[in-house]
Amino acid sequence: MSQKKQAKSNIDAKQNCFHCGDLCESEHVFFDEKSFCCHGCKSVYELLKSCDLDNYYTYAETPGIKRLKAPSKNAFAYLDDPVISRRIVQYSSAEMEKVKFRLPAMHCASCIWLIENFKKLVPGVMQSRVNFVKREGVFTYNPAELSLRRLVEQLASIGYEPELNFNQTDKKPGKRISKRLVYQIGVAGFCFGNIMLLSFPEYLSNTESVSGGYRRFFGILNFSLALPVLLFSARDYLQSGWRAIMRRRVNMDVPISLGILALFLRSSYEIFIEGGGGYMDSLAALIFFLLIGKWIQQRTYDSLSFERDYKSYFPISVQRIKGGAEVATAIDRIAVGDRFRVRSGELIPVDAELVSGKGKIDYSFVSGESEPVNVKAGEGIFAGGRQVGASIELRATKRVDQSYLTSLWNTDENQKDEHELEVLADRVGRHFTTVVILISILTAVYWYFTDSSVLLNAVSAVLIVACPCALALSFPFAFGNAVRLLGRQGFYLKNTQAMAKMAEIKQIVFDKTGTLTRKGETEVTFEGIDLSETDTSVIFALTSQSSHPLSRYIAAYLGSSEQPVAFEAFREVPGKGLRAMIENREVRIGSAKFTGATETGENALRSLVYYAVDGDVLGRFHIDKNYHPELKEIISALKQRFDLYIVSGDSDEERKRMESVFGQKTGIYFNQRPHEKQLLVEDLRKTGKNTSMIGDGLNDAGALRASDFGVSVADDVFRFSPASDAILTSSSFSRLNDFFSYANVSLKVVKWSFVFSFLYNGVGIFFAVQGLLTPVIAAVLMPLSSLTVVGFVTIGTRHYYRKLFNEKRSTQN
Amino acid sequence: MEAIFILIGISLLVALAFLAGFIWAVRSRQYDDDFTPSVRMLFEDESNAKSSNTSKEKE
Repeated sequence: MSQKKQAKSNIDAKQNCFHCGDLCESEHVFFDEKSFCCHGCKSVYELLKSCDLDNYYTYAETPGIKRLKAPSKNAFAYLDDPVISRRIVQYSSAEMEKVKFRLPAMHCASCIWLIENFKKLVPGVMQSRVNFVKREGVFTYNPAELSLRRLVEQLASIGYEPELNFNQTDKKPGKRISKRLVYQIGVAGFCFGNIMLLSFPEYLSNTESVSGGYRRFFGILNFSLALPVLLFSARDYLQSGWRAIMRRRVNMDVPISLGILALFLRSSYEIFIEGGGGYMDSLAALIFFLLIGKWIQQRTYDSLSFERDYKSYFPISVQRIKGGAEVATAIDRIAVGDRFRVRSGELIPVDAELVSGKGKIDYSFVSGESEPVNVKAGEGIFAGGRQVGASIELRATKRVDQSYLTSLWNTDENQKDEHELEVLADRVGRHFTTVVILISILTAVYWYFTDSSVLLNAVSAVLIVACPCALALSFPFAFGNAVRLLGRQGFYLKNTQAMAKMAEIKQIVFDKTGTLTRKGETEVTFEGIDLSETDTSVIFALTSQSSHPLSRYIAAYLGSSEQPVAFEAFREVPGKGLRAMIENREVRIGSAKFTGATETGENALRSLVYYAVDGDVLGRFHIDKNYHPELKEIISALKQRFDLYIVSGDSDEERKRMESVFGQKTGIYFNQRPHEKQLLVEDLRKTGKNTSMIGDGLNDAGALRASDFGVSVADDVFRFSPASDAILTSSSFSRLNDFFSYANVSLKVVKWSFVFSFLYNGVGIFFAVQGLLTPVIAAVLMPLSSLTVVGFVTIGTRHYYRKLFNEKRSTQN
Repeated sequence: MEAIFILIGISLLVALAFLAGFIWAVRSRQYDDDFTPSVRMLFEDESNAKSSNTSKEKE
């Protein structure tokens, strides 16, 4: 069986699908002198060609999206429900409807082209516009010609299935904040430039060449230009600093605010009392650069657009059964006692009771157990499970918002704020502020007794020059850059703070299913005699009796058998195998010892199941649970730097294997429920070492959130786990160690930049305490220190990125 | 030298006009998507392409 498959794929090797670019393997279709990997891809090509849209293939190579499974016919039937469609549609009238979707599958120029020419493909569409950065498409269409459901179905049929969930309807705040930041930057930049120009005479002379009238005029202009900078652009810093002081805490914004205020007050004093020039240029420059750093931070954040909302996991409508007919109903309108239908592959939206059908529920989202649970009629099913068998009929036993899953999620939500890490910058900033204030007090005391006329000068100069602007800049620039660069490698961090946390990780907890193994993808191969039809039927008959995972894999691999096999004396010996008598022959399926086979060198990452008839070993199944091929290397590299743990929701059939891969007997936990995982992570954190949890899916949400740095492993970046600090695409899993190294190195770069920044501040303070700091030194020193620090961290992080990732790539190939 | 007061006044007004322009551009969402337009302008004009199908040939 397997040999046949193998041979076929050898012939077709290295043919890539014209549509999606995948290797054409099992199902090779030729059409129009082009090869396609499946009929799905071919039919999309055909459709586009018939609509004169084959330009799609000219803007990018193999732009298509492979459709793994055709959506069921009624998958979008709920969009016919006006209650639901009204939530999604932005604008609606008799002639025109407007709707905005997220189209996460969009990935290249061809996608933009196709979506924007959607009206040629689907009559009734009036206009379609794409925002590629946000992966959004806005469609206007004529509701008389085209329904919302048709539109979504059409999009899905060519591979761009829109993301539909409640989020779209909940109005999201946050957009206006980032726009305000842009205004703040604009104002700061405008004032900065003009103040620089007006301060130009100050840089040149010892004030003699500019007569008093002009100086005063320039000074007042500078002052009025600095006002909007202080009151509008710097507002967030001042507010945050003030709030911190009110709560008797010190954060980075406190010294920044102090510096800003000192600069402003002293400059105003000079301008109005002494008739001097002040340092408004430094003030505006400082705020301008600070805001740009913040903007870069926000941009990286936006491009990831994490949405921390559990609702996006739930299907938004269900097929409610009402008087014999099925009606699509919005999920929040399901009341206790309502009956509804759940089809294969759909999530159970609410705690329910099985009415009819064969329940086969995959609870991997909830419990981590990847093997589906059989549920009989009358038994309860928890929300968050996924039906994997045929369709079933359920009766809701709770309302949606009360369900178990929601409450699990809600407790996580509360926990998050509790352990918000104190980030290094804040830590440094706090000490720094204390020291600066101490120095300025000492300076004040000293000058009070020696020469009180210098006092104000010296103290304000200390505060200005000690302003840790470079300190504040180095973090967003260094980590913002690092986050961006790591994104290129398939490792997406939520924000720069996550990067700071990542750099301080000492121990890592792995989830097994979906992290070390890939979910659902089990590779079974048979080695030995050519299996006859009877053999296949026999093996299928026996294995399908057993609920052991390995039996299940084999049964699934063999598919169904037409010949029913009569057997007697079936026995399952736990931990060993299956035994039965068939036509007076003893058939054994199981471990080497059980079947009498000689054990060969065990590969830690695969299971072997032997097949023997009357004591003759006829062959064996290799069951690859699809561990990462380099798992052992990855783990041993990580082990040198971190304490490693495994928590798994699965049964401990693979304990031995895990022990050999990890090279340790302790710290491996099986049969863990989600809250136990969470408790374990919390316990580990109590040892004082920063802990990272690497897991997947909803079931690890609690543990991910409880950890200092939660990483979710995802095959599709757009389906991340909302609780995590980072997403790791599973193809980049082998790079995990490098990612941690890079975070470490980046932190080192930041620390070095602190040294530079301190050096500048030290020199500045040295002059300032003596009352020797002239405007020129202050004006030059401050932007210079900011610029060197920003330059240093940007170049530094990029340098190490090249060193870690690009060099490795070239040696690998 | 009194001209300098007027000149500075004018230059500030010009600069203010640019600031207003910037704010207008942000407000009218011109900075929302800085990638799509750069791709969009390279697409064939579909109304022309309809009449002359030959122009579709691209390498």
